[in-house]
Amino acid sequence: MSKINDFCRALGEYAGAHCGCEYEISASTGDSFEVKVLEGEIISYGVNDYTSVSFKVKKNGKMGYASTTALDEDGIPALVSAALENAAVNENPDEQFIYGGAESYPHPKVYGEELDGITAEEKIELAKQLEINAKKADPMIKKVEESEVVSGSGTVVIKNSHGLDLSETSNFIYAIVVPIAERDGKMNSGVGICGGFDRAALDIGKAVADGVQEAVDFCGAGSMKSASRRVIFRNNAFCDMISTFSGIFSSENAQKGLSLLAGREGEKIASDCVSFTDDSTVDFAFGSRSFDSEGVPGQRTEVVENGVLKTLLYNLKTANKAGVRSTGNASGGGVSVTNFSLRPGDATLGRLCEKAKEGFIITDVSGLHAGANAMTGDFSLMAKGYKFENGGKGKTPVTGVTVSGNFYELLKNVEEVGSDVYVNMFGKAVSSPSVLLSAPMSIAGE
Amino acid sequence: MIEKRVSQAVLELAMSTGADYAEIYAEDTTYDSIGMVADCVEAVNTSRDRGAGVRVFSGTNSVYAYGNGVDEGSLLSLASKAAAAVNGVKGENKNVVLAERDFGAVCRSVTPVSEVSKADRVNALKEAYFSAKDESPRIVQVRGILNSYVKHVYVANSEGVIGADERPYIRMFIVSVASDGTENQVGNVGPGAGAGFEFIRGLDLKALGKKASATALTMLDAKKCPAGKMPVVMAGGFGGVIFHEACGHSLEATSVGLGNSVFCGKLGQKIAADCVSACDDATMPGEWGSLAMSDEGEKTRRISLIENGVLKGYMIDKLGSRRMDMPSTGSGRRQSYALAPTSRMSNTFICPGKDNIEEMIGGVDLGLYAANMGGGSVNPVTGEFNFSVMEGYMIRNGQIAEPVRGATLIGKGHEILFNIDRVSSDMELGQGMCGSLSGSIPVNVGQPTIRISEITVGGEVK
Repeated sequence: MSKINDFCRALGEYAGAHCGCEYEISASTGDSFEVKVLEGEIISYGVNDYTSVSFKVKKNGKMGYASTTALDEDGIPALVSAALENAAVNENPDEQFIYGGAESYPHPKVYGEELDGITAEEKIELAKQLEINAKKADPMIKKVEESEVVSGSGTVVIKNSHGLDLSETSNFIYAIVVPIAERDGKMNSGVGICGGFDRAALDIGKAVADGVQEAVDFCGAGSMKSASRRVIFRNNAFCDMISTFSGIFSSENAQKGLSLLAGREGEKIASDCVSFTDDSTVDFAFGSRSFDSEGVPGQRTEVVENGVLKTLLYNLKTANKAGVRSTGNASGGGVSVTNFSLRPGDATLGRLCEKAKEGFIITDVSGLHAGANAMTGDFSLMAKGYKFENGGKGKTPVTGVTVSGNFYELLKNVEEVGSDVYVNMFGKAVSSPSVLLSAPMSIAGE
Repeated sequence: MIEKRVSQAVLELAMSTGADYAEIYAEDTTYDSIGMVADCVEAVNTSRDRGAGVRVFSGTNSVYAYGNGVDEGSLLSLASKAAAAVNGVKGENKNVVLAERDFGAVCRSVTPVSEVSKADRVNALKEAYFSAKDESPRIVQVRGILNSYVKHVYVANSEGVIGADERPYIRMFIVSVASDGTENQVGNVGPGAGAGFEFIRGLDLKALGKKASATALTMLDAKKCPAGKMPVVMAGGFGGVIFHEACGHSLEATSVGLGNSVFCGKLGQKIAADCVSACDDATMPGEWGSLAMSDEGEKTRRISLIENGVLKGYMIDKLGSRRMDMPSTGSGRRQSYALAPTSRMSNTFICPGKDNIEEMIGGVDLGLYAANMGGGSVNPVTGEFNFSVMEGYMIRNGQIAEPVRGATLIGKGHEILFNIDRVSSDMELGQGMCGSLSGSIPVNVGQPTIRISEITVGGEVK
């Protein structure tokens, strides 16, 4: 920390003397640890630390940005002049802000003290246990592609020419297991993950069970005839969908004509049972933080309430343009969700199947980076899941199908939201229960 | 970047607890990005990323430590962290003798971007941007990005090699959004090269913008693609993403070396139709996926993967080489010092064949013509891949007919390779970013126009 503090102090002094304008310094520093085990041996082990400093200036009303990971004080003039040069070619006419700070900030718990006590040896042992347990769990599991434990901690700092001086330290740990099932020469892999901020969150039993079930169930599973069927998105799959399309709730995308939700606040955009909340103030959640990347306090925002779009998510610039207050969702230079959740209902997954009578449970979608378009809402994705009849009593695993539709339509077609909340651990901190859709969807196979 | 005596001391310390190989990788990269949206230049950013990593092997076990310092103290600290994780026998001190090796250059910048004023760079971006925007009033939004970066890479390893590589990269993206008020469709282009600003000066920027908008407008008028199994003719260039996903990833040591690929143990066996030959070639001058020196200090090369349907080779890095007991092919790559290298593709393509494009379309009664592809992904364990068609047309009675949207192609790599029944002579490359264990790296995919006799097309089920 001392190195980064020294660098930020020197950068602040130089900027104060040479910029003649408002400026802001954001820094992040931290460390990470990872261990991967294969056949009882450590095949990969990493111990790392990182630092990076971003600098922004507001010169003649325009923002300019530059950043570096090379904390040499003799690099400061180049960093500052790059930011000034970048401000000079910026043409964005919107009013920009360097934030003066708020009276109070929430302080969600984002640092699990208990994690400090978990030694490298324990993490290695955990990674080994993942592999051993996965192999024991089912005779079809002959090997485990990945048994990995990753942990880390990091501090973010924001200081600016208005005297704002904020910092927050967080940590995490997670474990991932990828068992491979084999039957009749055919192989299939599954993924199980667990993690959080204390020992209890490292539920490797559950991670192993999830990974093994996926590997075994879909091993040798085939495709099915193309059909239009009732669909249930299982919680994790719907998390992926929400995560991919969460940008539609960004005011920045809306203001640039890149979201079809532009100007639709107050309108019904989803069915009655759909409510979305963004909340960065929850204790021990991956998307929690006291302040956003502009130093604005984190908050809880009801984004969609019973199907009605209440608000989009804002940073200082987009809020000013829309005549509202920032929702504390600044991220990098734009706007992003924090902990974004679909409010659960009462039904279990089993109950959703009973209600649908027959249909298709999508348990996994892949190819989201290419087959889903956040601007149009269209998606066409490879999927796997279970074809079911008789209210879920007869379930057949199916792979190699694609499911296509439109996310905006999907929101309107949610018939019931389940009670089984799944929390995404990678990428965006999205959580969702399983959902049953009212209109059938195209499932393309043979 | 690092003094020889320092590298020597770092490598010796890293091996002091029994490791049988050690390597230093350091890089200093400066990225420049200019973004346009809503007719304005904004999101102009300059960033410098500098750091180093020390990796050691003990047999097939690997330890990696990285940080941002490249001074002697920081590097020695990385070496001792790495050494501490090796449970080897403390043997005699290992002497490392280093010598510089010249890897030459396959990518040069004739006009370094840093020597071109920001205003000139902005003007080039605007030319393409406004050509896209002015194409039609139905083009409601355009995004334009000009990215460039220069990566200075340094590698020293206990095999005695010190190597350096300077890699210039430049790429322009234009994404056009067409709207009829209720629905949006997008079209994009993204040419890139391992070169300097001369690459941008050599492009027809107006045509580039028009192309992005033309795709978006065509797709806005398109109906949904019907689903089912059908023959597909895929245009050359970015269509090569099918080979990249369906086969390329499964030929990387990352999956082959751990026995997780469907192509394990199949060298010399038939894995594709006779008309299919394919290569990975990092030595193509000035290409987006090219590099002279691998990120493990080895000379890159052209690797023959498939010849006339027979599997000839894999893409192998140093660790993969140990696991597979086969020589490395110089395929070790990584996004940055923050990730240990692994086997990766460079410029990977299906080689030109002899077939005629009119004949291959003419022979299809009902099928899909994929003019332009989006990205995709694959599970190397099962070989299941998927990728999206950005611009597609139905083929009816041997003729390209109406445009269709929302098509996704899925299948299993090892099955689809046998279904390729035509390969034309017009090989083209397309640029992309490939994500895997060692991060996101620039790669070219490529192919001539090919025909797949049958593949599952995802779309609307009638």
